[in-house]
Amino acid sequence: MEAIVEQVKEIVANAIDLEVGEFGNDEHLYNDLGADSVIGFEIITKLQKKFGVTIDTKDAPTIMTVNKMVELVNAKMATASN
Amino acid sequence: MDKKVVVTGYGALACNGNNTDTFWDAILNGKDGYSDSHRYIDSEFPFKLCGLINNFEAEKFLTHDEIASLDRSAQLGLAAATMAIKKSELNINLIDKRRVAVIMGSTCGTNLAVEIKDFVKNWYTDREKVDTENYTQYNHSSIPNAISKKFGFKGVSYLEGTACASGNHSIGEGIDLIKLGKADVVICGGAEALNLLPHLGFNSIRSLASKKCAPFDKNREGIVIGEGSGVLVLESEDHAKARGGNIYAFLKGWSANCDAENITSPITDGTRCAQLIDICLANAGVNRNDIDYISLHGTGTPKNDETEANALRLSFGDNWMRPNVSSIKSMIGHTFGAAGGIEAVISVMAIQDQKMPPQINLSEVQKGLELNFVTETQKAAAINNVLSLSFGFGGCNIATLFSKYN
Repeated sequence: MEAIVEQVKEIVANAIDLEVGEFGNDEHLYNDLGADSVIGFEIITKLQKKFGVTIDTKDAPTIMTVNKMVELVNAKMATASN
Repeated sequence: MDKKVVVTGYGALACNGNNTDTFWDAILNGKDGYSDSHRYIDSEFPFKLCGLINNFEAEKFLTHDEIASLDRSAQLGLAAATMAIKKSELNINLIDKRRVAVIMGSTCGTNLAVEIKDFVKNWYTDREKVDTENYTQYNHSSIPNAISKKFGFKGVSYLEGTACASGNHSIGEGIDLIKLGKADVVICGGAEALNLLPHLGFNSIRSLASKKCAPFDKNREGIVIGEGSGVLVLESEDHAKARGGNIYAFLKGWSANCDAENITSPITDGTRCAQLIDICLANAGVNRNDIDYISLHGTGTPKNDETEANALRLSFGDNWMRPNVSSIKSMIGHTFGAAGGIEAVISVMAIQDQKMPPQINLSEVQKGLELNFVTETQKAAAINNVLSLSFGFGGCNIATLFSKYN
């Protein structure tokens, strides 16, 4: 679980051009971190590639914080393994 | 410092209302204006439902000469422009007409396919029948030029041609003309008359509906073709204030981009349209969480609706259900180049009346396309910011953002 959090946080950090220690896991991607749809889509693409799960733009509302992204990735991975 | 752009006049007509007031009343009350037949389609054509303005009263807005010399698209545009200019109370004799521009959007322009076919056929078979007097009505730019001529506006006058986004595009261009100091007043919007060409064309790509247009509905079939016009009078805030004009809304910003992929099909993941929205919000300086109403493009085709629903999710994130949304194409059909102009008028009137147009024919939302649809008539709300979206063939995407004037 922790490994996933760290990997997700690294993806977000790269996308928003911050260090992983510079933002919290519950900070809002758009409202707090100033991201937009281009960065949102970049994160979706990288999450898919990193974790081998299918995420599309319909899922965008559920990835607005690192913790929400981890929840989604875990749920998708669990579904894929069933 | 950039000039602020304000809306000081508006006028519209469509199949459910042949002047601004009756149109708006029908729109707020969820009344459509579809009819089953029109003069361009023969009895064998499978899709007859259309949004024809059966009671267009051209003589109320146009002179006999204008009616005789102008194609129906130009007549509709001139009618809407006349209503918009009247609403603005511009004193034509007191303003500098060299500083008034006209930009109109249209998809098929004035090409009445049947008539042009006859014109060309006659040229080769019986030149005595060629009506050279009426050749000028086939010129697309006659739509804006007729408005310039009627009122003596001597600023730039041109037709915007970005397909179904043309009407909205002309308004965006109007913002820039004023902000760049190239015009004090811009008359802009779109006009489109029913035309055989899109009926045949959209039939060929299987996008027409045999029943009323039902955007985002599980059982939607596609588009119904309509006609109409919507025109705004834009002014710099300074110009409007100096003449004591009424200001109905701020026009804070706009954006444009292109899919640069398929000519007829949008990028359904919504990425390009989401980016369009983001750029528009940034251009206008308005936070995404402060958008109260979105006038959707909402054509009722599977790919358009999927694209738009995805774009809103991607652009608004977890706040995607906050803005109220509706597509008035459910009531008037797709008026192509006029659509962005007509939807700009309803955006301004929604801010004026603090009421939102409903979306009709929505029985069961298609799974995955859920949005915060306005389905009740005369729905009142605090409306400070309105986003109007238009997407056209060629991947042409346009957004404009209107705000309440304080």
